[in-house]
Amino acid sequence: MYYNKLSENSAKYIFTIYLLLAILINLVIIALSIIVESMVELKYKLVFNLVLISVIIIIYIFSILKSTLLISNYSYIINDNKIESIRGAFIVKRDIMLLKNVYKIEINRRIISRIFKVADIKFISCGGTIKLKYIGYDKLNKIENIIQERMCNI
Amino acid sequence: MNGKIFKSSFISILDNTLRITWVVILVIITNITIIFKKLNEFNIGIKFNFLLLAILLLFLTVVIVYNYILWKATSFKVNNKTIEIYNNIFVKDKREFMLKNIANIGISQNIFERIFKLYRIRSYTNAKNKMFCDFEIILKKADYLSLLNKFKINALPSINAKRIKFNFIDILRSSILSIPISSIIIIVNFILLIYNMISSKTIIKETLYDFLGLIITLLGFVFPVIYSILKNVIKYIYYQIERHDENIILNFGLFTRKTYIIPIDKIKGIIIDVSLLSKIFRCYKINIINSGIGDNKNEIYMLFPISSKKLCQKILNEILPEYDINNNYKMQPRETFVILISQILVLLLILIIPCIYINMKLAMIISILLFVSIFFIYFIKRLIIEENNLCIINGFFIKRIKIIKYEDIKSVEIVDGPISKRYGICKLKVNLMEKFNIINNSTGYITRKDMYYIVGKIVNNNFNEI
Repeated sequence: MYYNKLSENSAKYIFTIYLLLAILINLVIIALSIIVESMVELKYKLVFNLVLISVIIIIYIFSILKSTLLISNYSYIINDNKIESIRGAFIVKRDIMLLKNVYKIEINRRIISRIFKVADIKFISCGGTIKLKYIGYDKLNKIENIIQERMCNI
Repeated sequence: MNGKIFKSSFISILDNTLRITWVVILVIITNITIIFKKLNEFNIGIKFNFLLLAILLLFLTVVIVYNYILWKATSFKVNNKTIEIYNNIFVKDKREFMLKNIANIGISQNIFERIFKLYRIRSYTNAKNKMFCDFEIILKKADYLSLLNKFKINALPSINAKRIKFNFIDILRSSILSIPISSIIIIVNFILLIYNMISSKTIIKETLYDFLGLIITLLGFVFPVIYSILKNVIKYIYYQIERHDENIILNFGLFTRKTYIIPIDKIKGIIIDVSLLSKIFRCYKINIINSGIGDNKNEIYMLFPISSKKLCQKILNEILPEYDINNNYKMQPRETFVILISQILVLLLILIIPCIYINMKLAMIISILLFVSIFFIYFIKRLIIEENNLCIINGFFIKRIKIIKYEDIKSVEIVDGPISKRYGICKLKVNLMEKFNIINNSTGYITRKDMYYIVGKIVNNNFNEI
C-alpha cells in the first residue's frame, strides 16, 4: 500500500515555521541578555556571551534537525476504508480511524500556511480525533471529497 | 414531511415550578401564621417578615411566569426519521436530530406527576461527555405511549424477555458498598470510640464534657453517610431489570419511579468497577457505556445494584450475553521489563545522583522503590482478546475492567518506541465513545501479533505493516 509523504511545499512550510520559531527565541534571549548586562555588572562577561552564543546555535541546530526528522518521518494514507497517519522518528505513533466513524471535518489554514498553500485537516469521531498536518491544497480537495462520500452520521 | 406535534402538559408548569421552588413554598407554608397575623394587624409600617414573604412570593410568581412562557414557546415535532424541537422565546430556535441516534430514554414520575398521571421523558443521543439531555418533555399517558410508538421503541415484553428483580437486602448492600472508603474509616472509628466509652463506662461523662465535639462529628461525618445510604435505598428500591429483544429496561424507585429504555445496539461497552470495599466483600459494580448513563449525577450510575462476583456473571450472561468473556487473561509480554527497567534507569540518573550527595540512605530507598514499581506497573495491566470483544483490565486491588466490542472502537493509536520495536512489542490505545471522566484506554504493552489481530478486527482486516 502506498503511503503519502509530505509535498515540497509542506517541507518548505515546516522549515520556515521552525526557523521563525528559532529566530523568535533568539531575539528573546538577546533582549534578556541586554537587560541583564545593563542591570548587573557581570564578572565573567566573555563566558556569559559564549554560553549565550552556544545556546542560540543549539536552538538553530535543534530546529533544523526537528523539521528534517518531521518531514522524513511523516506519512499518511486515506483509502476507501480508513484514515491512517504515521509520525515520529524515535517513538513512532500511528493513528487509525475508520471513515464511517468520521462525523466532522475541520480544516485549518493559518497565515503562513496560506502562503505555502498548506492546511491541517482534523477528522473528528465521537471517540477521538485524527489530525493530518501540512497537507497541500492540491490534495486537500481530493481528501475532502473522499471523506464526504464515505462519512455518515453517528 | 408531516409529523405529529407534541407539547408538554399544562400541569407541567406547576410541576416545573415545584421542582425549583419547593423550599420557598415550604418557607411560606411554615410562616403562614405570621402572614395572617400581619394581615389582621393592617400594619402600615413594613416589617422584616412581611418583606421577606413578599420577596418569596414575587420569586414564586416570576418562576411560574417563566415556566409558562417556556411552555408556550416549546413544542416537539416527531417525523418518521427526525425529531424537531422548537424553542421560540426571543429567538426562533430549532434543533433537530435523528431518531435512530437516540441512545437512552429516561422516564420518571415523582409523587406530583403520579397523582396527575404525567410522565417526564428525557432523551439522550449518543455523544461524548453528555451532561445534559437532548430534550425533556412532560406528557400525559396517551401522548407518552404515542411518542414511544413514534420512536419505534418496543417496550412491551416479548416471550423471550428476561426479568430480574432485586430485593431490599440487595439494594441496602449496594448502597453501603457505594460509600467511599474514607467515610467507612470515619464510621468505624466512631463506632470503636463509642464502644470504648461504653466499655469503660465513661460515655455520659465524656459526652457532657465535649458535647459540641460529638454534635460536630455526628453532623459533619456520620449523618452524611447515613443520609447517602438512605437516599440510595429510597432511590433504587424495587430495582428491576428486563432484557427484551432490542432493549434493556430498568425500573426502580420508591417516591420517584424511574424507567430507562436503552437500545442494545447503543450500548458501547461495559465497565466493571471493583472498589477496595467491594474487593473485601467480593462484589462487582457493573455499568454500561451509554449516553446519559452515569454522566449526570441525577441519572443512574449502574446497570444493576452491586452484587457478588458470581451473581454479576450470572446476570450479565442473562441480560447482556454479548459481553460474556472468559477468564483467560494475558499479562504484558516479558520484554516489557526491558523497557520499564530502561525507563527506571533514566529516572534513577535524574533522581539518585543529586540524592547521593544529600543522603545515601534516601538514595537507596528511592532506588528500591523505583525497582519495586517496575513489577507493579507490569502486573497492573492485563488483556483478554476474544472473537468479538476486547477486555482491558486495569488495576490490582482496585480494578476497572472494560469490555468493548471491536466494532464500537472509533480510532486507535499505536505507539512504538526504539526498544519496544526491537523486542516486537508495542502499546495500543483505543478510543471509543466514553464517559467524560474516563480517559485512559491503553492496553499496555502487547505483542505485535496481538496488535495486528486487534487492529485487523477494528478495521475489518484492512491493516498492513509499514
